[in-house]
Amino acid sequence: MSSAAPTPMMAQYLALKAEAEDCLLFYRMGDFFELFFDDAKIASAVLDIALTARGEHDGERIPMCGVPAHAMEGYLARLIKAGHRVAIANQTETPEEARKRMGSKALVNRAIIRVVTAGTLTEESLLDSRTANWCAAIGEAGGSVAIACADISTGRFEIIESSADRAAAEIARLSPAETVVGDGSAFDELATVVRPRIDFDSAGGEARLKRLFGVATPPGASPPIWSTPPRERFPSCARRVSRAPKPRWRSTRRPARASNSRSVRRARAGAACSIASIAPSPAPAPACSAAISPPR
Amino acid sequence: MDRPGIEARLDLVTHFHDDAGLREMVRGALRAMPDIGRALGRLAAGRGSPRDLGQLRDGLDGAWRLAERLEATGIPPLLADLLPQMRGHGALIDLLGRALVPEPPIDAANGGYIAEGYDAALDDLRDAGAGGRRAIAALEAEYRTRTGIGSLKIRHNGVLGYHIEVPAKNADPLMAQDSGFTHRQTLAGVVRFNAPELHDVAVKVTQAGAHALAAEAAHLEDLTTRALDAREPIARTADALARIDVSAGLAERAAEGGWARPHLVEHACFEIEGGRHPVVEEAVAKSGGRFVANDCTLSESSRLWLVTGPNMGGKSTFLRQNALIAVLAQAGSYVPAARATLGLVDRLFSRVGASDNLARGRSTFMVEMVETAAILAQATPRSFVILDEVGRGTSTYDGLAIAWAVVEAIHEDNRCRCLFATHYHELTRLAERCDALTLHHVRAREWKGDLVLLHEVAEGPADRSYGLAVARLAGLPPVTIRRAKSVLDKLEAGRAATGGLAAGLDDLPLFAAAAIEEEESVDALRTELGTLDIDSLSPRDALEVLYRLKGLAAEGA
Repeated sequence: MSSAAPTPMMAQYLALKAEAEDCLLFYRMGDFFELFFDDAKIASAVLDIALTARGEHDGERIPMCGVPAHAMEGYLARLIKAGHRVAIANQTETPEEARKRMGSKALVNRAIIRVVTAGTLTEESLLDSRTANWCAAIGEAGGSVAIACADISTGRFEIIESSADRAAAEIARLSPAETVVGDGSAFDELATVVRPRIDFDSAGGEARLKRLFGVATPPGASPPIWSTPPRERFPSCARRVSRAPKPRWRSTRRPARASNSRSVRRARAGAACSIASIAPSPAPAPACSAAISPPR
Repeated sequence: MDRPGIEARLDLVTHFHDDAGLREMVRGALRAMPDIGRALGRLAAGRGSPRDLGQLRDGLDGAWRLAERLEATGIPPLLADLLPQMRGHGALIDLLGRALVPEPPIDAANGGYIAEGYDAALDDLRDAGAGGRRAIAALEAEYRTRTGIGSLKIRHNGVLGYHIEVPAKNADPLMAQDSGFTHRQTLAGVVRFNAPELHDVAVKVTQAGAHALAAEAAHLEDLTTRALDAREPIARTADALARIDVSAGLAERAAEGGWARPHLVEHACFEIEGGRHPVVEEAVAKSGGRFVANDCTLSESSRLWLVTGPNMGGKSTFLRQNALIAVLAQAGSYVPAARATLGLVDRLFSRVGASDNLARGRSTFMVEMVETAAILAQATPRSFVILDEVGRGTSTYDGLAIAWAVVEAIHEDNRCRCLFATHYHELTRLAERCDALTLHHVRAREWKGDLVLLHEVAEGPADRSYGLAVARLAGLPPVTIRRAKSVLDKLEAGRAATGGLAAGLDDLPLFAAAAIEEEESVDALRTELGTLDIDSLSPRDALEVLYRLKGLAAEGA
């Protein structure tokens, strides 16, 4: 296939891109974030910026476009609004450090420090100050439906138990910026992100929740309903919570403050997986890959 | 949401509604406050900046002050509960107030956000830096006198750091080996040098700067930790502010629009006097018109209103305004009406408007039916339902038949409060059979051949539907209108002769009876097949099941 081995930089780029296949990859080069290949074509169309080319890969010129790092937020906002997900690969060492490590031809280390999606924003300039920014996940099992929703911008986390016929109305009420559902779900029409069904596994979700909230005891009598006590949440949710037995443990901790991307991913994954823990049995896990359908 | 909860919210709205000065003060104070919930979120997510800490400081301080001004005797219980949550951050406000400059930057990389006087060591480092810069200025003056070059400057850039810059024409003396200057760079117009004294001072300045930055970064981390220690109480403060914001906003809207506090009761009634549609009202007001307010009185004996009348007559607006009033009342808001008494609603359903969803292969009619099906399946006697022209998406006979059956089902089975708008005048016959169904219409007059829409809801069925008059109003060509008129005359003559579209419907058994009959005719074979779990059958079981099914089929035949 390839006529020549990719340059070391391109090899690094492709490795990072493989980590974030469903995202547009912002690749930091000096004062710019560059996008390559199809990412560049998409971004240049959405952002209305010049599409150029650089070097060669597989004997063809590599399409490229870029945005200045200091003005990134504005461009990011437009890509997110257009329904895209963006992974940000930053330089994790200075060129001096790289030279010290590898000599004069060294390539600076880069890593994806954050995945920016509509449901995981915290920037003031990217959020609407009048509405919550929910990232919701819908899990189904045993004939009932659970909706886990997290507003990462304020740290709110709630779980709503619902019936199948009411769930769509709940989602409409929440109006999430991002909705994650399992592959083959009855709610795929509402989804902005479809993940493999296995991500909605009960035991994994429970373990993750316990880790996230720093509790060791399993939740109280079934069906467990988690909210973030002791704050009173929306009245509509409070009503549901009060119907169910109180959880035995009380969390006083919010998700731990961690380095940038990890905390987000943990919170996101926590939301996605926690739903399934309400269900009595693990959901079947058909072998299917995740697909993305950007919202209109 | 239960009634005491809603009443508590309404009390708070009333508190702000009745005191315009207080409302003004609260809204002004809130407008000036930063969003502390989101600032806290960023800090907790590890994406915090000095500005977020500044926002926390200002927001918590503002909350404290607001709480003090709201404190009074006789305040509503909900407010009394909220006020303590808005105070109690004194130590943190004080700390952040001392530690941070008034307007901290978003970017921490350049420092300068820790206030002077907070940390003596940091102040010393900054003094050292400033002293170094003074020393550099002194060096510049010294070099000028020593070299005699008046335009000599000491500059700084990212590559060379501090350096001496002279115009190229004056550079030669400094290029000499023993001049005491080291050549660094030659550009088009200038030549740059370094010197040992400058180097020493520059190192000091740079080091002091780096140490100061590190010290500030350490303080930022410490302050963030201290703020996050109080994250739960801070989040409660943010929630309390949000509640007050909502109540004051609702009170403002109520005062502007002349809304009334709804009276909530336990039994299933819905009595609105002078109800309005807030959005339509505003649009009408903008174009200089006057919105016609309408009453709506649903009760146990008249829980289903069948509303007929011409298009554009205000049927849809009437339906929607009442649904909106129900939502607003139950959210704890005042409502756009002169007076309102409502029984709590468990769910509100609407089937209004029409939108194709061709992308997903659903026609208007399909969407309409899916939504209607959901309503029939889920509405309870405590629900509130508005149905706008159900059955219009298909042929006349089919549509009428569906609408007829839906009205019967709502009346007999769901028994909910319902407003049903329709163009099928034949449905008005249902009033004779359904005792809780009453007829209403939006009024219109034809005056000198023109249609005048009065937008008033009155009792009884509409005398006619004015479809052609509306078509003329919309600008359909006169030729087409005339042709339509002659077709209509023919049709109406036919209806008079045969008893019309709904002739014979009076003989139908009632919906409930028909439904039971349907139930019994369910196929035993299908039921059996439906309950089969094929995956759990052994081959032997499967064979037995086959025999049983065969037997059932024989019975059925």
